[in-house]
Order: sequence, then C-alpha cells, then structure tokens
Amino acid sequence: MTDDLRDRLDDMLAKLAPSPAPIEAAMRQGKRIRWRRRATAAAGLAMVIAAAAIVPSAVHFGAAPEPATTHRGVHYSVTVQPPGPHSPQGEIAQGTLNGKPWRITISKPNGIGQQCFQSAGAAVGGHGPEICAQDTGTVAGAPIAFYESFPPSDMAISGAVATDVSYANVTLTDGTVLRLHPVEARGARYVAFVAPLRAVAKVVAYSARGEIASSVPDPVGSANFGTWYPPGQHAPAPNHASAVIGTGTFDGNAWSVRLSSGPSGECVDFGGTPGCEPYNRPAGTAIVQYTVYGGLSSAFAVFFGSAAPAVSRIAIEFPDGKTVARPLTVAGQKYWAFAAEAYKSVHWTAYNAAGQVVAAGTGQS
Amino acid sequence: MTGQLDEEFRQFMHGRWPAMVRLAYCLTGDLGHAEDVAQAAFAKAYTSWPRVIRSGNPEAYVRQILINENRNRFRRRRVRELSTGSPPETGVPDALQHVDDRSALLAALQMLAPRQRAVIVLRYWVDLSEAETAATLNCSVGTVKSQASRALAALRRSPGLSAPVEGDVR
Repeated sequence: MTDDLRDRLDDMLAKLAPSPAPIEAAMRQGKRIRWRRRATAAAGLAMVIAAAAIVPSAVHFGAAPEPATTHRGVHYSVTVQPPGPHSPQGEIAQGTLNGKPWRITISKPNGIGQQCFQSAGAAVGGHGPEICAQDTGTVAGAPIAFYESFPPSDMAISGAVATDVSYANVTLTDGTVLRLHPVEARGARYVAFVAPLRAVAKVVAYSARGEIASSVPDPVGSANFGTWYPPGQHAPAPNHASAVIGTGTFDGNAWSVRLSSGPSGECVDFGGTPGCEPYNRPAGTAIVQYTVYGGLSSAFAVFFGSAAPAVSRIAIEFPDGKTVARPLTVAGQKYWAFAAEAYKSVHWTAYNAAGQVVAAGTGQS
Repeated sequence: MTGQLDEEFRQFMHGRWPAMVRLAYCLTGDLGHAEDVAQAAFAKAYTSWPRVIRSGNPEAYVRQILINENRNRFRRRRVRELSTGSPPETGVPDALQHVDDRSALLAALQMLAPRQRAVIVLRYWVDLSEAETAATLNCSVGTVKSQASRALAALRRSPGLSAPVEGDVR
C-alpha cells in the first residue's frame, strides 16, 4: 500500500539532477570545522579556568563596546578595489588586509532565487566559507543588505545595494575609512570587503545627492546592521553590556555562552565560531537557541534562553540526569544557559523565589 | 587524516552524494538548499571520518547528520531566508501532468511539519523500518507511527495531488 507514495517520491526525485559532488569543498569545510572545534576547546578551557575569577564581575553595564576595547590602539591596513580587467566573472571586489590579498565573488549556482558569496585569498586563509542566501536584494529601509562570513580569522562582508546608492563609507574602529563603490554582477549591484574581526564601527550610504542613511553593527562588530538612521539621526549612545551567561564542562568538554546587548540589539556567542548570533528575546521564559558541540559520539548541546523577571531558578531534566540553571541579569533582562546531551529532549521548569512554578517547557537539540 | 582515509571519504561521498541531495531536497524543497545541507553533512562526517567508518554504517551516520543540519539551518543567521507564505507553484495541467504531480507532491511535503516530512521520506523513500526511522530521528517508534499517520492523512487531503496518496502505518 505504500508503493504508490514510494513511486511518486521516486518519480519526483528521478528527474532531480544534483551538481557534481563537491568533495574537495566538503573536505575543506570539514577541516575548518575541526579547526573551530579545536579553537572552541582551547577557548572553552581558558574560559573555565578564568570563569571562577571573572564571572562575579562579568557583567559590564555601560562599558565600552568590545570592538573598541579589543582593538584600541591597533591600526589596520585594509584596501578595497573594484574588479580589474582580468578579474574572474562575478568578482565584486578585491583588496588586501594587512598586506594579504583577498577577493570576493558572487555566483548564482541555482539560477534565480539564490546568491552565493565566496571569499578567497591569503587574507581569508585560502578559501573562506561560501555564504548562500535567498536573492532578496535589499531590504526596505536598508540601503545595503549585508551578509558576512567568517574565515578562520577575519570577516568577509558582502552586500546587495539599493539602486540609489552611489557609494558607501565603512569606518573601522581604528578610524580607517573604506569607500565601497557598487559593482554590477549577475544582474544586481553589490559591495564587498574584508575586515579584521570586530573592527567595523559604522557604515554610511550615500546617493548622488548626499547621505542616505547610516548604521552601526551589533555589539561585537559583525555585519549585522539592524537599524539604519536617516541623515541627522544617529545610533543611540553606546550602552553595551556583555556577560558570560553560562560556562562549564560536559563530559569533560568545556562550553560557554556569552550574551551581548547594544543599540542594535542582542546577540549570543556560543564560542568557537567568531560570530555572534542575533537574538530576538521573546516575552517570558523560553529556550531560544542552541548549538551542538563535539563529535558524533561525544556531542552535547548548549541551550540558551531568556527568563521572565520573576524567575529565580530553572530545573532542567534530561534523559540521564538533571541540573539547575540560575538566570543572570544583563541590561535589565534575565538569561539562562545549560548543557545537556545532544539530540535528546530536555524538560525545564522555572520557579520564582517563593518556589512557585512560573513556566515550563521542553527543548530539543 | 591519512591519505587512505581521505580516499575512502572521497569514494563514499562520490557514491552517496546524489542520494543525500535527494533526501535533503525532500526535506528542504529547494535544490540549492539541499546541496548546501548535504555538503555540510558530508563535511561534518569528514571531521570524524575514522569514527564514522568504525560505526559500520556511514550512510546512516551521514543521514542523521543531514537531518540535524536541516533542522538547524533556520536557526542560524548566516543562512537567511525570506518566506513566500505560499507553497511553490504546481506547474500546468494536462500535457505536463507528470511535472504537475511532482510539483504537487513537493508542495504537499513542504506543507507538512518538519518531523512529519522527515518521517515520510525516511519511511517511504529511504525505506527505513519504523525502528530505524525512530533511531535516525531520536524519537520513539510510537512517535514515528503517529507522525506517519498524520502526515499521510495530510497528504491525502492535499488538493494539488491528482490522485490520493496511498500509504499505511505498519
């Protein structure tokens, strides 16, 4: 009786023609994952060693944003140039970062509907990760829709540009200003550049008549430009907060989660990868995001979520045990994190200070 | 990793790539996304390839990674999507009836909840048993039965399919 469905599925899939297997690309990607896991392990171990000393003072309200702190006094050497006469098809920009070359190209491997950005060159470790996204062009209210990728060390940033944008100025945290001129490629307009990690401070887009809008990145300086401000308006004065929400070990493997909050919103950093995931805080208590650490046989998941103001502790039950998370307040909001075995369901119950149940739910990695 | 292990991985990926892309296509409904997810799954398998080999069933390992990758991909910022709010178009009737059926089936699959979709594909295309499907999805056999039952009922109700989809829950 299942033959009919099986036949229909076979028929549907028989006509599908996958591209040739990208074996070498998968192996490169695998090596990068391995590299990040090693980095995670090293960073996590350092975090655990330091945690006992720093966690009580890990919350910094109103402190300077991390980019400025991290790179204060550092000078970058970054150049951006348009494609040359011998550039490969689809190239958006090329340049150097601290003397090392890079180039970013765009492709549309699946025709209409998807765009893929690829960074290459010594500045990005040979080949950066390919970033593909739906070909949405620009977003209403944003003159440039940026996408970022994270090669082993720095950021490769590409963006689709609105038709009225003549150029954009990118200011780095050391004061360097990069001028980006949109390039026509694959039927649309794009800009691209490579910058040191967490070094982008501001972007201003200009038309032929003057400034269109400006934006500042999220607290850790990625390419997540949440809000664009019209001329005359500026991002609110920095009121950054950053805190380690949870840290520990699971089966001997270290983990940590950091929440950062700033004028462009919140983001969560699970460690290991250099990016900070944008975080949309829901009302109440919930598990919102997770990441899986480790290899196939030793995988574990780190969960992260928000808690309602009344919550003072959260009991978590998973198949092989239980633990308790205590929410930490950052910029007036409560957050919590814990580790559990990967690919299993967990059940959590949030209590207030009087021991009453405030909320309950499940999570699944 | 040694050259021999690398070569084994190359041969395995070369041989299993089309099947994994097709599996991912059923889950994602988009060939580009399917190839991305499949590549990511193979890449993760490569990071632990000696352990994958020792498992004795590398295909099951990669399949499980692929399903987890697909589940995770919408939670990551670096794959950004815009939802259209409507299923893909279902082709034109008559002369292209087969094409229409394929599109309709794909659209119907995309209307299922992700886990139901995975159950349907694993049970009725990959041909896994209920126990194998449950192991792949990290859920109970009972969940597989109930999800399959609901999914088949939903497929039967799909207006775009020219004939009812028949399937049972064994």
